[in-house]
Amino acid sequence: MPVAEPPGAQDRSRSSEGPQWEDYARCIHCGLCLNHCPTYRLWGREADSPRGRIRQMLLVDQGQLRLGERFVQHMDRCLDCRACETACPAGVEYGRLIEAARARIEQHYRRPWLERAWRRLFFRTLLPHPQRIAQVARLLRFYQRSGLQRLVRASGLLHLLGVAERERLLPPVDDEFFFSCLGRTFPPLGGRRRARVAFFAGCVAQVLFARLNRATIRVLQANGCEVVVPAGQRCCGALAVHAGVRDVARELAVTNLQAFSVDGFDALVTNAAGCGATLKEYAHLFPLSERARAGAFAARVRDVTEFLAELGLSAPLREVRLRVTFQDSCHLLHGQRIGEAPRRLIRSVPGVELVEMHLADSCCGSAGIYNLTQTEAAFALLREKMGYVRATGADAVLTANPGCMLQLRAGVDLFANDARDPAARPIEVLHVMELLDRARAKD
Amino acid sequence: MSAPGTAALARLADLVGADHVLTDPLSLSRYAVDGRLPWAAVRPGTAEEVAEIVRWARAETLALVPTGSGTKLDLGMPPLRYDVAVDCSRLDRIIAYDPADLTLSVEAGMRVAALEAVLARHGQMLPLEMPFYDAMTIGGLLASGSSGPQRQLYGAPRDFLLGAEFVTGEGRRAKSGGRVVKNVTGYDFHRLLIGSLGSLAIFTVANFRTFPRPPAQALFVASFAELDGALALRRALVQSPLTPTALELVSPALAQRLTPQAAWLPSGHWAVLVLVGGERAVVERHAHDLARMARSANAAALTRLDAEPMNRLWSRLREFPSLACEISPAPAIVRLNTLPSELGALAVRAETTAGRHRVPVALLLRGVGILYVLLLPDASSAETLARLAAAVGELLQAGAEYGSALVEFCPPELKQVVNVWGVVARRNDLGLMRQLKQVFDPDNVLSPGRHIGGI
Amino acid sequence: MYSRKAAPRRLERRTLRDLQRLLGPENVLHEPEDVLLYEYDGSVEVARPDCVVFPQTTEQVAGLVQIANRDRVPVVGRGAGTGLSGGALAREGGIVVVFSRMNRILEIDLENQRAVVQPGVVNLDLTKAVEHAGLYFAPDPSSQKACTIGGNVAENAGGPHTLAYGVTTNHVLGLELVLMDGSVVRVGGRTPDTPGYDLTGLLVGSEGTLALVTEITVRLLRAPEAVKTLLAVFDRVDDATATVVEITARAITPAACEMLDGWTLRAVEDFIHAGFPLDAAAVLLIELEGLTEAVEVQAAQVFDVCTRCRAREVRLARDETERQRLWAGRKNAFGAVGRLSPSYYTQDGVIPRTKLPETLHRIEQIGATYGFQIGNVFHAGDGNLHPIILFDSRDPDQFARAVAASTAIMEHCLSVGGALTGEHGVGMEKSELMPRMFTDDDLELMRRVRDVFNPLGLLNPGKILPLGKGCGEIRVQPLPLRSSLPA
Repeated sequence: MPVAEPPGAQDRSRSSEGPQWEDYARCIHCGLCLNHCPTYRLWGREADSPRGRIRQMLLVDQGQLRLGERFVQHMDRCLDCRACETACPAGVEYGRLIEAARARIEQHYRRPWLERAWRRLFFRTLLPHPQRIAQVARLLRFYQRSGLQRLVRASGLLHLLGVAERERLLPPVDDEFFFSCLGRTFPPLGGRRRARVAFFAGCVAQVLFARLNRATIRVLQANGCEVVVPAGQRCCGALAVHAGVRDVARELAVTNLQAFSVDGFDALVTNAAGCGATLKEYAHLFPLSERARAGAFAARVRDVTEFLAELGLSAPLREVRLRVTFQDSCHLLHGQRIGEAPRRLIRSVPGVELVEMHLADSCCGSAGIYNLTQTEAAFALLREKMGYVRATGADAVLTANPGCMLQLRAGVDLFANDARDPAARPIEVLHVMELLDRARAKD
Repeated sequence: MSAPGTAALARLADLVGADHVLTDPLSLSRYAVDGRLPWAAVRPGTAEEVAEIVRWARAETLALVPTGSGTKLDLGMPPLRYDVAVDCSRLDRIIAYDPADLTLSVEAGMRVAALEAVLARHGQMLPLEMPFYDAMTIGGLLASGSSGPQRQLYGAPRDFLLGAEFVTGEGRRAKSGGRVVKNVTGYDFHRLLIGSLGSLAIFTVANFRTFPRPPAQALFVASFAELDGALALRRALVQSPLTPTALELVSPALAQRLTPQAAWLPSGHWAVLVLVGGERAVVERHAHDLARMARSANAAALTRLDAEPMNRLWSRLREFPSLACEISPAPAIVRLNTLPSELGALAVRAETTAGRHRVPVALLLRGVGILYVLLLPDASSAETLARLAAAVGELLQAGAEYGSALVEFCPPELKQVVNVWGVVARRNDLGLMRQLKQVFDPDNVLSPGRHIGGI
Repeated sequence: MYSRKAAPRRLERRTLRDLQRLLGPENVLHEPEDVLLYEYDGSVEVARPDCVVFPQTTEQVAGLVQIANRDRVPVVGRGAGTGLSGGALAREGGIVVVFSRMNRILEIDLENQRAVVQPGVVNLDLTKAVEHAGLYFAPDPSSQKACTIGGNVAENAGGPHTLAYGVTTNHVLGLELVLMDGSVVRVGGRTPDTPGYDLTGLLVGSEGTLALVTEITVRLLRAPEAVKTLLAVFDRVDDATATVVEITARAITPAACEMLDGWTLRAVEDFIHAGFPLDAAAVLLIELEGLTEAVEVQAAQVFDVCTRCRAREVRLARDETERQRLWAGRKNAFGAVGRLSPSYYTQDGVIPRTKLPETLHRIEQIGATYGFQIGNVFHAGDGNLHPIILFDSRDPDQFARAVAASTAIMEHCLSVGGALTGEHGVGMEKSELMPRMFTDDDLELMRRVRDVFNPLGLLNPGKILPLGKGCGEIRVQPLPLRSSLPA
């Protein structure tokens, strides 16, 4: 009778933080995750399902499956949306498993040189360094504003290079970056201070979502929060964690633990669900002995919707006549188990009608940089998603994560407005905070 | 076809005892199938005897027709050969009845009415009200594939038959299913045998789940000048949360036979009969909602019958084939299976068809999607029969368009010109059925030729 | 006890080539590292196919079956692979036909409460597609959010609410079949009682041994007007089982009546927070559905029975959220229990409901004899047991004892007049136990009927019918297993 090895018996390369036999064995291969997995729904293949991926990881772990191209492909195709965790009756921590698998790939698998080059550029050269992000953003802004973008789009060059769809994902760069807000404190408005929060500004968000960040701060202020934006904070490292680039993620975590070590605030608030999930799981990046500090840090992290729903809105809200639908951000719903809070906030705005769409809890295909690396799958999911958005008849699709907003905006551009009355306003893509900001009674 | 020799009959008598082998013409007349008599009838007392009889017939190359109380022997086509009737009515024991488990195991020859009396003592029942209720046996109703009006709520017997024991055409005893209410062990032969008309095997034991007898019951009758109103009420009812036990729509010709002239059922009106069972509060709720629905559907009247008047009217409707025989000397009953939403269109078509052939007609529409067309010629002359045959033929054709159709009852002469199994040209599942017949009954001992496609 | 089949026969080059031509190379998996992901399902069994194909049309299914038939290669249908008896596993290798790409709802007829679906449609997705009209598809296995209707048809799937509404066979009206010779046959239909033998009734629950189903016509039910969900809490297991016996005996028909014993509910509560009291010996989750008036009366009756049978507390779910939480506790129970132990094994047996008290005693005894904690979470209302044996599959001795304990439980079920499986199917798990429930003649008849449809034994070989060479024990294969694939 074949019996699996006890844990550790074949431990060749596993770092102490890696999953153990029990972590895999917790999967009872019941298959309840399958229909919740966007890629399984797309292709219907076991290899691209959570159950199948876990099995592949286990076999690689046991040295019974080659860590080769095919394995890497199936791991890369995972959105890491963690919808399977919500569906799993056995409590398998899939997110941890896939991240560990990707770390192993990062260590032991040699990707083609071009892929290696851009991964190095993106994860190591760019993300950890705010000033470089700013430089790239300025270049991009020049491309968008100078008429070059229009020229290039018209030229057909993008199609020639096969990047036309990806180019559509390029978000407009903000006029004013958020970096200038680092180190500042924003006072509560309208009466007594109800809370003091530290604001997590993000990395790319500082050049692409500076307006969203400002809107978030305004909403917090309006609801009686003093908002501190600690200087010295960096990228949360989510993208690196998801890609398996754990050393970079760990360094970023150390920097952020330091940057937010100031005492005296009630919560560390972020408007990016992807960042929030990673910040809450910082402990996973460290060996057991060093987890205490990260754990204490994580305990104070709140998604801004979570935080405000808990605190309760105190600012008066004026009517916004809008029919909206809400796209759950995977790292909010599945990563942090927060689904009701954003909906409660949305419903609290007078005049807003919330119409739920089919499969709101399923990934839009954004998934960090998935839409760049797995463009075809990302767009297939997006097309489907936009169909469901359209079916609600909503004027705006709301979400709670900048990454999702980028994807949804591309979706609106590419798919959602096709079948609509050309006279109708295009569907808006808004963060829940932007809706609340809009509903803020003007001072 | 030749009579079994004396020696063969003696061997049969050895198997079951001479008392249980009947050969006198008077006794045999009970076993006529489409006017054809067997040479003998045998009355086995145990399942093992049934098996021995089948093995005997197989060895003697004789054809058997199994029967219970003989109420539905005219179903299907006339047997190609018919030597001996196997009368299962002595297999009439309750093998096991566990009222606390709501399960029952009963021999196939037991009469339903007798069984119901036993169940009633424990406040339980089987939803088996159907034509020939007083006489029919468990095996007979299963083999004939009969179902009744209670199907609206309880489903057909296939839905509450848990398992069965039977004797195949090879004379082997076998079983399928079990006695527990939930069971997926092995192939469900008991379902396959339902409606097989004894052509695959002879039922010896049937296991059922039983049901609580509803503490209160009432029959509501709504009358309508037009069919459309009756259909509207049907539709409103099935789309409501109400849970009627039965829902039957009856055409004027049949309706007026159900009860002596009553103000609530004017002549020329359609009747919608809604049987309701359950707690008193449940019945009252139905009364309340039905009144509203009947008004919206423009019912001419709505009345409620309880107790004896209810039973009287209800049993009369249940025995509609007998009503047909009261009305006509040579009735035919065609059954059309369709989608509930098509019942109205099909009913109109049936009336038109009958009218074109100048055959008086009455209709019974069952909510689940069954339309019984009662063709009621007023004579049995050759000319009438010719018109009847033409009407039946067209109805079978129409039935095939809407779903399926078969003749449930007709003068034997009609079977010479009409295949009672209806139009099967577009079906491609008969090959499988023939092969299954080969497995269960390789020598064609059981009911040869009676079933669909000449099986 | 268990022996993996000698290296599965390799497919002939010609078979593979023709399959690829028919379906496109991307829809034919044959590399070892691809097919090994189809060697498992939701059960404890393992068997690896040689090839996995993804057809999209009935014609493709017919075509691939013809190829398989010509080359004498086994064919095994698979939906989502959530089955619990190994029904979707290629016990003798060959081709696994995955229906995940045949997942369209072809027609919904709200008026007549019918739907026509392809086999790969997920059970709950059908309900989601019709619930706006107040309808639903009744069979509700615990895996309903993932399992396919094709799989439900093959296994005749049940679920908690089958107590009131019946199992899959009660809701299937017609099927389109692909037979082993590649012919396409329609049985049953959308209308009731198609004349002739009830082939639909024979096919449902035949575990893929008779034909591949490519289209299914099902009945939809109207959602009830009122639902009440009760949680009855007991200090003694005997009182809980007595309650079930009494509810049945009084012929009160709940829509569902589920039991969790104390040990199980504690495991569940830790994880799900369903609201089960941690110190209870057992709880019953009883759901009443129907007309408001009927539900009121039944609820009063159930309260009365529970009280008489010494329930410590009978709690009524206040709202849909609380109801959902209680059900989450029930539906996720197996997964939650799985967290407590490296491996576990769920059995599926049926007993007459009157035998419930003695049966639970017997199971406890068996647990003691073999040295296991055996949990009980099951469909009490219809006597459908699901004992869970916790063990460590890495320990060969424990493994052997778990199998023996499981067999002992099944023997008890049969000895009190029960059945081998209530809803999981015989599959490869219990085929060797079939002779304990059926005679040689019964089994011979099954074999010959199978041969009508499947003369060469190529369709899902090794399922339902005993191979006749085992020692009659339930064969289980612990997971995770060691693969024979070279690293």
